Amino acid sequence: MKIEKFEELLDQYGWDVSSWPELYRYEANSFIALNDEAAELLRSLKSVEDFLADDPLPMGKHQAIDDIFAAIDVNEGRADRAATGNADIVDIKSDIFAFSDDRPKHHRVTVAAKQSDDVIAPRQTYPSDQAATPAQNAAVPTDSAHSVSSLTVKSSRALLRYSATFASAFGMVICVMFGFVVGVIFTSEQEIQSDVQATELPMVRALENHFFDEASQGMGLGNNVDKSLAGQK
Amino acid sequence: MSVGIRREMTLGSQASEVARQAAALADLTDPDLVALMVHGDKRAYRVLVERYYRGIIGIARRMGLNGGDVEDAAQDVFVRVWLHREKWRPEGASFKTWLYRVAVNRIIDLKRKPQFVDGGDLESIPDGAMSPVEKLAQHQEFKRLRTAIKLLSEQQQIAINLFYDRELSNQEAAAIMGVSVNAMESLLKRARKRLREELKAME
Repeated sequence: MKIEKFEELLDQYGWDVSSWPELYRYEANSFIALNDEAAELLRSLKSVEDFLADDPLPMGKHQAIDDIFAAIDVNEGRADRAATGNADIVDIKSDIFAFSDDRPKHHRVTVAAKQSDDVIAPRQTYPSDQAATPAQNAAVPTDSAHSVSSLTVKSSRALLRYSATFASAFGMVICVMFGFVVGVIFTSEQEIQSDVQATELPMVRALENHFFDEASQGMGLGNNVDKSLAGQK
Repeated sequence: MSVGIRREMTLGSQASEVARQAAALADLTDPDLVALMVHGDKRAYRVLVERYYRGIIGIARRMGLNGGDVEDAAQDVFVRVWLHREKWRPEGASFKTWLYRVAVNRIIDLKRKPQFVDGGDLESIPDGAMSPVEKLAQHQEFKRLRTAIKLLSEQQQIAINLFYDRELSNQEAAAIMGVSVNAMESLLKRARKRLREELKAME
């Protein structure tokens, strides 16, 4: 065996030759016994192994373990306080300066919302219900009532709008019909008057001629028609 | 019978009961103790801490932490394991592997912190049976070894520290590093070679 092969085996199987495979162990022990360089190398590396494997306890083991469990207790207490600080209602109420988070993730509000009998869940708004404003105390219509009144107003307004439209249309029709009737009556009157004049005028003229003839005969004047006609001729 | 004697008898019986329970817990295997620990049994966890405290101290010291930091790191590791005990999965790695993995990761974190002071030049191993000259020689030898080990890569340092931990098998060391046994042996071979070369160069 050469020193290079011995070093390679040291790297491969470690610095404890007794743990090497039997095939190499016997040969290595023989080589160490004959080669000072190999023996010195092994001694140097064995000190490394002893250094690495050495594990002194600088302080009392039980005292250190007690310290570990004291640290565990401290950490658990801190964790518990942190957990209860967010969820404990009593602590919040007892401390007047405590800030109450009223957002939906808050435990108390979530529980209240779950336990509420109202159909409509309370709104999660700022500020919280702990600081109720006068406006919140006033009688405010519920959403359902508000919706009914809103519907009534909306329907009455529509009715008015529809009524106005209907009235205007009806009025327009009435007006048109009235105009039509007036027109028809006027036209009828005109036609009647025309007919009357057309039928009465010859009679009136005949009567006027008759009366004129009668009057002329009574005064000795004769017939003016005939004379006038004769004079024209 | 006086009240004092009766009280002492009561206290004595309670103490013997506690000791009997502690002995019963000490006989349990790791999986049994871990099952109790997960359910919040601190006495079972104390047995586990007593079982592995020495190993965690050893790995922290070998990885370059000094005296005070070694104990702080060990305490931090055991506190973390207790506080995160619900993350333990029985079907995964063994508790020992899990604990050492947490420890190695924590020690690496501590070493990477800017304020970390390497304990290689500060710590000496006390041995009352040694003369001052022998102590000085050993101190110098340890200093040389630490310097050589620090020249290795981080993976090589972890591999060599875990491998030479007497309480860990090769399989456990490989499992802690998250590599196969073959990969671990290959890593060890390179680490030994580099360490041997560095020590030769220092002579």
